[in-house]
Amino acid sequence: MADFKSKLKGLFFFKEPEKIEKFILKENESRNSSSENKEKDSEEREGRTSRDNNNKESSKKRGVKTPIARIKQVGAKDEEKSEGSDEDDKGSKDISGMTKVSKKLSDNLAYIKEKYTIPVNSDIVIREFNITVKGKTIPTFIVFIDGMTDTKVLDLAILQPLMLLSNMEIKDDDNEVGNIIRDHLLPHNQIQIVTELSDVVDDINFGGCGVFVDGIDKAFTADVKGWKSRSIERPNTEMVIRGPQEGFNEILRTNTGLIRKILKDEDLIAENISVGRRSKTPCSLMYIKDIANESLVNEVRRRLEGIKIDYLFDSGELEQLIEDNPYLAAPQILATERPDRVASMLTEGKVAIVVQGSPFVLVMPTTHIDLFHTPEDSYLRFPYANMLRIIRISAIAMSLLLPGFYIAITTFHQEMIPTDLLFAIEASREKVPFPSLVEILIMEFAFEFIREAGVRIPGPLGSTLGIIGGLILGQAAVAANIVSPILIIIVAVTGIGSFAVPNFSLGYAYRIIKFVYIFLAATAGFLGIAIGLFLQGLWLTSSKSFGIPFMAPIAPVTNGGLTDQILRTPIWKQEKRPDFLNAKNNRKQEHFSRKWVQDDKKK
Amino acid sequence: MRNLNMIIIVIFLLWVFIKTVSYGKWTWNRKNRLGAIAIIIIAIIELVLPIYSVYFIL
Repeated sequence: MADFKSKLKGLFFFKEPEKIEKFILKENESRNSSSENKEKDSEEREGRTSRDNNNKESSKKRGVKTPIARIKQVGAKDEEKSEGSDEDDKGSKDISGMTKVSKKLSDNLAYIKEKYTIPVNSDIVIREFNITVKGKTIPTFIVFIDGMTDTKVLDLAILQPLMLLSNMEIKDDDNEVGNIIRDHLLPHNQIQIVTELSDVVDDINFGGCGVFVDGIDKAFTADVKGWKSRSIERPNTEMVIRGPQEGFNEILRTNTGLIRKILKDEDLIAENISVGRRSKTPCSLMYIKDIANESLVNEVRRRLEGIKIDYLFDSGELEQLIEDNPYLAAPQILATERPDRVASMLTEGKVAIVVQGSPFVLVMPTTHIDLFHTPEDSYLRFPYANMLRIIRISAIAMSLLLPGFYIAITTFHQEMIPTDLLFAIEASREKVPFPSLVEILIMEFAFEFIREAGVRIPGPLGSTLGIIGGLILGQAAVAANIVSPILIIIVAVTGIGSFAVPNFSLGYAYRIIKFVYIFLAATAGFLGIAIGLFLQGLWLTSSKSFGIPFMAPIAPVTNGGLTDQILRTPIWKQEKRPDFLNAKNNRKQEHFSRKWVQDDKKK
Repeated sequence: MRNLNMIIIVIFLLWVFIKTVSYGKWTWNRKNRLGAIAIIIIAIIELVLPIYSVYFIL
């Protein structure tokens, strides 16, 4: 009866629905945690090392779990070791304020456990053992991240010596445990003694191993990196026929090594700078000490150190964080996959940044003309290189302006082309119901779709899609009288021209600007294109890349900088570095670099 | 027959009205006063308008 009544009541009156949501991210939770963080920060600022019991109670009431509480809840091991956990509890009172390595091993262990949320974090390995130093047994533990370290090196260079060699007689008068361990028990090539706990954690996060020994207020960190990485392959975005075929990979030290291998110069500097408050992504600032301008190096360093972000994943992000003008379509920093190109630019007095995890190295400052160059230009004889540059620049101009020219001519300036050609164009457009602007936008967008889809489709399917898209779609569009045949030629030439842009970032920029020229031409014909060129020229000439005018050495014209800019002279004539870089040493080769010619003349 | 239809319609409308008002009351109790007033206005409209149109227009 009661059941029937409640059903009847439910039929007539609104009843609060049962909560069936699987997961709700409540605002309060993040607020609590952020307020907790604020509390923690303020405590640290005040220099308090332990939390008040009242605070703990209040946080318990709110249901906020401290990391230590979480560890206890999840970890079963800690419960087994009742004495050990008691020690941890004692230590946990102090560990939140710990900054230095403690003499008490249990404190250090508790700190590491809290820091890495052990045992929730399954890839953090802590190995506890005993070592014997001068007949005295000392508890020790090592900590490392599984998957980032080379376990063979760990076993052979860290664990084996500590556990086995320590039992042998050590012929040393020094009784200091730390010194004995460093000098006799850790036969590894990169051992550091650190006192700050944050330094130990940073090293562990980057594939290191921390060694803590009871009774000494120092820890040892060993570089035992051993993660899997891609081998050195051909650079996909900058293929050349002649020249080195090596490309960067994602490992910082491999990349700096590739550059150093080419330059073989003791003045080549590779400064380490970490970017990212949390990720601490290692970056290497590279320059040649006695060539690169000091103020340029300082400026790059200043910008790198001034970045305040949590995580940095790739050099593409770094480029956006340090460039001068984020709204300029053209890139102001050159990103390259080729070590030989970086090396060549470093010899000119430029600065490079290598980022851990990125196969693209950033080189700065960059001028607009640098973006037209390919590394092959230097390796080919100068007549071939010049011919290629002329073709490349023509192709780039075509890709930028040809659709605009077509619209301007067919819409406003019909008298500019031969009458027969005009008739041919008009005859082909006779059945097309759209104006030229709509016609060209349809085809340009179709082409962009094919290009984007071709990039996303894996393997050989991508090129198949390009062929199918280009041939069949174009043919079908003409047959359906949506576009005229001549427009297919225009779009195809534009597309091919855009592939001739050596720098892919500049290619993107020109693809965007092309549409601006199409609209300008549709609005005011050649006058619109002229206005566009004027504005683009103003924009480019007023831009700078790390203090260097972006259009240098053309605007402004600088002395002696034109040996390898739009065209290049023979390599023996390229005596000086680009003077707009204000390198410390402006001459890069002797006046007579081909000394044998001089000798022949003397004979 | 017509009267029977009318009665069925009115019963249905009353049922909807009661249920909607009870929802308005629940909303009022949850401190959403404005929402509750809006719901009650809607409940009145959905009761009054059909009855007016059924009895006075048709």
